Amino acid sequence: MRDQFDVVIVGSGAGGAPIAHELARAGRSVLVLEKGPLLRTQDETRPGSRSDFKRDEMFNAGPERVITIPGVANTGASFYASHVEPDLNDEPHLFSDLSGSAPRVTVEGYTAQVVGGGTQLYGAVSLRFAPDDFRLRSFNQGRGRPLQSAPGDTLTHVRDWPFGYDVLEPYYAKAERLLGINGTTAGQGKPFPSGDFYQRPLDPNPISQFALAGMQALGYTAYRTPLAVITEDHAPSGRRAGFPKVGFVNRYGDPMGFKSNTWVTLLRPTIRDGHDLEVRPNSVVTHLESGGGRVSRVHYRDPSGRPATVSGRLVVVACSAVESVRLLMLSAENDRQGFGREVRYQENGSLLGRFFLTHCFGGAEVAVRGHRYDKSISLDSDYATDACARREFLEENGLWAGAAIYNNTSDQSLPVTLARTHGSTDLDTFWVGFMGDVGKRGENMVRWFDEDFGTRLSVSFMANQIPRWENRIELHGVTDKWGRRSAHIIKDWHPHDQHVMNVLARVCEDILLSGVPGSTRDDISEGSVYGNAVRIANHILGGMRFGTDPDDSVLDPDCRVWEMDNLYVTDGSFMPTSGGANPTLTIQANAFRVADALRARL
Amino acid sequence: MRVQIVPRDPLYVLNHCTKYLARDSTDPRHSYWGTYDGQPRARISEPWRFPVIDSHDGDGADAYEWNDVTFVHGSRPGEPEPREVLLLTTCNTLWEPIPLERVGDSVFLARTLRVRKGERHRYRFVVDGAPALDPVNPQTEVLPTGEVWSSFFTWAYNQPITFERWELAILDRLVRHILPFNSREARNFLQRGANEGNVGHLYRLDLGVGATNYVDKVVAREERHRLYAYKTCLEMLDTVLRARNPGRDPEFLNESSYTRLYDEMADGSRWPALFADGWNPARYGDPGHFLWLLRRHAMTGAFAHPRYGGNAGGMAWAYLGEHYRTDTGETAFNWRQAVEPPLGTSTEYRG
Repeated sequence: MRDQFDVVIVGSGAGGAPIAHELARAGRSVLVLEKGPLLRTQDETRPGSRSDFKRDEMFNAGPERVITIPGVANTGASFYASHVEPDLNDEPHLFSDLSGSAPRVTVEGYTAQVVGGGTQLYGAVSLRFAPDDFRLRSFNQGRGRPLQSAPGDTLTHVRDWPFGYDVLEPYYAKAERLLGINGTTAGQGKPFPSGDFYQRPLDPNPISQFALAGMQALGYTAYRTPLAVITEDHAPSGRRAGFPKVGFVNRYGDPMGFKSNTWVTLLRPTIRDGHDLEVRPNSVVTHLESGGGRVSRVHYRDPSGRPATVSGRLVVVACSAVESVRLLMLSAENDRQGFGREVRYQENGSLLGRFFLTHCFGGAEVAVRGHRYDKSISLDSDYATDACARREFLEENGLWAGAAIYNNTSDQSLPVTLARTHGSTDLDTFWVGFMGDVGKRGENMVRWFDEDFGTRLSVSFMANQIPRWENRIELHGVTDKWGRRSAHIIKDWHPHDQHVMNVLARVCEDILLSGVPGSTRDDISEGSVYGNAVRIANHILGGMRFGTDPDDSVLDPDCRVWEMDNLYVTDGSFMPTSGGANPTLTIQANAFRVADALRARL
Repeated sequence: MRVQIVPRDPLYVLNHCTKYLARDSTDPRHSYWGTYDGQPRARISEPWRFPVIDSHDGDGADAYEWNDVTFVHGSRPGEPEPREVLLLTTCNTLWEPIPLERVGDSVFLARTLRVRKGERHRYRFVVDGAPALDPVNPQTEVLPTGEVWSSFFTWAYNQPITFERWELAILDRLVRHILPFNSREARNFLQRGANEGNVGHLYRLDLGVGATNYVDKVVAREERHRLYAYKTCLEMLDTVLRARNPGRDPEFLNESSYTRLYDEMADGSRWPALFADGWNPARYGDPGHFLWLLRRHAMTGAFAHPRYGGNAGGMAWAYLGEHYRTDTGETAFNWRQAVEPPLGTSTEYRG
């Protein structure tokens, strides 16, 4: 089997696929190693073939499994994962908050293990970050009114990105064009000087009118939420449009390939066009080997589990922030004097694994009384607003950073999901609310459906989390099925995060209060993930932040590990701050940017 | 050969093998409280996924009536591999063994057969001439002769596997008590069979829209680790009901008997009444936990895709679709538009 490439990329999702696409099309040889399977869309293997993805609620979260790992806080607990999320007994992530409590195993924080990575299961909300998200240190140094609920250390670890929105903007445009995203630019708080490449959004679900009305009543400008789903034929990926509004959206792979995941948009077309790109699925990278400041070999297991190696002139790691940090740490443990020193593993003050970030998020939800809608005819979101990313809003509310706000349309639109997410606070607590709500039976079950089926409307916010030194990824003694130490996520919120989430949850509540006729604050439930640090929403960021100072960052501005000549990291781990929006489009845009730098080196 | 062999590319098979079978670890980390202690399947993830049962990837007009069933035999890297593995199965004639073929250059041997939906079959591997059970799939069937065979069933199989008739009867009463199909309106709907002729896999609609059948199947396969809970608790509930209603068959007791059982399981302070009438806490200490299990399974069985054995013909979806209307009088759950024909009416998605 071929074992020499110009570029070897670990991971086929948002951070890896754009680089594979660009460098293979530039005539370089590229190998993508992907731990998960290559699940194909309908008609992919031959005209008439079935897809490996199904419109089936059990693909979102399947049968019960039980955590059997001894000695963790939730040994014996049940979990319900998607078919492309890992078996937690084979490949656990451990989680602790900063209280020192015993770690527990969690489903939270995995992106999908499948070709396409997290872009297969995500809700496909594809927002750009706001210009100020790139310069939060500078913004806060120049702010007029003080932060509220902010202890003295609030901004200690906040860094500007090495470049501004203007540098990333052309790459946002490139990503939007190549991926296939529908939405509207009018009303967004971000400039689009490179052009509007959005496809036309489909008609919104009628229930979303209340969210729009609420945003407008508060004086907020709204726009159609950009979603990575094609609504028109998409020439760059050779896909034909169809009818994507079917409810099987968030947490489902799309059997039709309308959702613009990185396999159908970037990798598959590049292979079909005859470029030198190979994807090896079912192949988990175990560690990297280095010599003389370069990664010399990538060690992986083939689909049978047999060891194999491959070499690349350049090596790109993009297997999700948690797993990328872990891969570098495992490689360091394998060669402490070589690789370990080059990535400064466990050195005093080393930043490897530090400043792990997720998002402050939450929102508000209400049942729209007297109306009912078919919520299954929907995509993930219809309307968004950048009103809470405006400087005036941040000054007025004493916030260090802003947020995107958008309504959710497809959530709880299907009956099994309605039940299993009832009262659950995270992926680890699927079904718990419904099972324990024993009053819901017979006639009471009918009443519950009467009230909640096709009536529930929610509005969410997605905001920056304060970077903290203590929030980190380490290795834990619990081993995976390959005998490798597992990732241990140690994380908690900052007090100012609570203020951010309280303010924004209140805004979401106000949107519903203003938009839904007859609603009262008593009808609306609002809340956030504050107090539930494990809730990550699969937005796993930071841990290897980039910067201009080798003593203050792990990666250089091109996402190269400072002490390694040919090792790059391009998933969300590069981010020094997490942005006030869902991160995938920014990871993709940055990967296109890095690809330009890599092309110049080969 | 009676059965049709379906060509599936090596990637398809590996996609269904690597995550579950490939590993270095020999820990029994998948033993589920000892369910699989001492068995090779305790070491691997989700052994119930084998043989792999999937949509039939064929073009025939009747393709929807079939499943593709992929039989896999794997070796551990570095260990001696068998020279030959044959498959004997009742899908085919039992005198015509089918050789498994190597999947690419992997350690897996596999073969995919087309098997009609709604069927159950037994099979054995013949490994270098010696008959063997599938070391991965835990389902077995014991013949009247005492011979043990590996076993599987295809989608929407509707004959009881796990439960006896008396167990199904109690289970069904409890499931019905939970589900929203006891209203007069719902009963009328179900009795009309109002699902536009989608009767291909309808089965005993009186059984809680098939949710009981789902439970019978899910504890045979995906959640086999919950088989003990059902077998034990249904037996004890039968004892309790008979103690409270001497000489009467639990199947025909009125609703109040089951309401009381439900209420007692739901409320820890009332468990002593169950214990007094025959529930043995030494066998299953937490009646509330069993109720939680039952609630999750009832809901899933009723509303999940009919392939799992409940929601016959999409009946529960159709009930929601007819019962709930939008402001403009249209259905508030147009599930058919998303779902593959002939169950649904999607003009794009084939399932």
